[in-house]
Amino acid sequence: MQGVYQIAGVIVKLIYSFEWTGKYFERYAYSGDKKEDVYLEITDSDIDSEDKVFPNTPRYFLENLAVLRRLSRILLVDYNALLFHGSSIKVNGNAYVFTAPSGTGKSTHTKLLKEYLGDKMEYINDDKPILKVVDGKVFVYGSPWNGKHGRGSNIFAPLKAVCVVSRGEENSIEKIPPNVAIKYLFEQSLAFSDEASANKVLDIMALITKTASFYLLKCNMDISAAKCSYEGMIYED
Amino acid sequence: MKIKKGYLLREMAGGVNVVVGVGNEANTLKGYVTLNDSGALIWKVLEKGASLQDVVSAILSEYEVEEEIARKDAILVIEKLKEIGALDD
Repeated sequence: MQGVYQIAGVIVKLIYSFEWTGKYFERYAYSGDKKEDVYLEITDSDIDSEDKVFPNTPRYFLENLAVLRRLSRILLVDYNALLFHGSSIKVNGNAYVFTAPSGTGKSTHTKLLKEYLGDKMEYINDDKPILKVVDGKVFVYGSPWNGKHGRGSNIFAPLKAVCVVSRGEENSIEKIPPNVAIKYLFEQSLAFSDEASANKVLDIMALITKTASFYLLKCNMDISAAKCSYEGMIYED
Repeated sequence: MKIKKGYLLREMAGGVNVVVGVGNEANTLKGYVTLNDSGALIWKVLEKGASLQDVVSAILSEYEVEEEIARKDAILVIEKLKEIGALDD
């Protein structure tokens, strides 16, 4: 089977075996008449190598992981686009990325922001947004890998700030210097297994530290947490 | 001593330099340390292969510090790099 998709502005022709893969990428289908930038064929041996990393996983799901692994490397090395772990939103035309180890409450927090901001906020991607460098600026794009709640769409916006999320009894937010944020940026980046990729990750990270703002949010699960990060990070006079 | 293949340094904002080691299958870092300006200078000397004395000399030619302080700084950075496996003996 095959499909053509537009991911982070890159047109990808994907050759795959399982129907589920087609369904999964459906929302990113490209119907324009441009020729594909990337031709990606997922083979049995790609799926076999995922099986070695994730044994006892259904093969249709392994195919998805194989697409993730191969495509994320192509996007990184050839298109300056890095798959990142975080929940990202668009407000007032700017993108904000909330990052933290899994289980900390990134998605819970952006869900609270959605309740708080309503139509003023759009989800870009709730789990793996793409940070792409275009003309020396960093943009946040949606990706098909949008988390267990399926929040996100195929949109993009310039990156304004990265917010490191941690849990707290009380809500507070403070600006942190880039060198403090770097640790979290590296921990939550994907695709770091060879030198060509690592060089790209470092280039993109360096640009992010020089162009974005960084915040540390301590938050609980009350709606007041959304007010805190909105007023402390997003709101501008 | 020499920096091993697969370890990379990049300057981030605010003069912070990051060293990472790459090349394992789990897509995670082998190591990660940050270095200041003089640390980055030491890295550059070690990239070509150098003895402790070479490193100390390089610091002395770049910064106006006592030899003893340069030596301490060199040892500190070398230890940091050894911790993440970035140095060959």
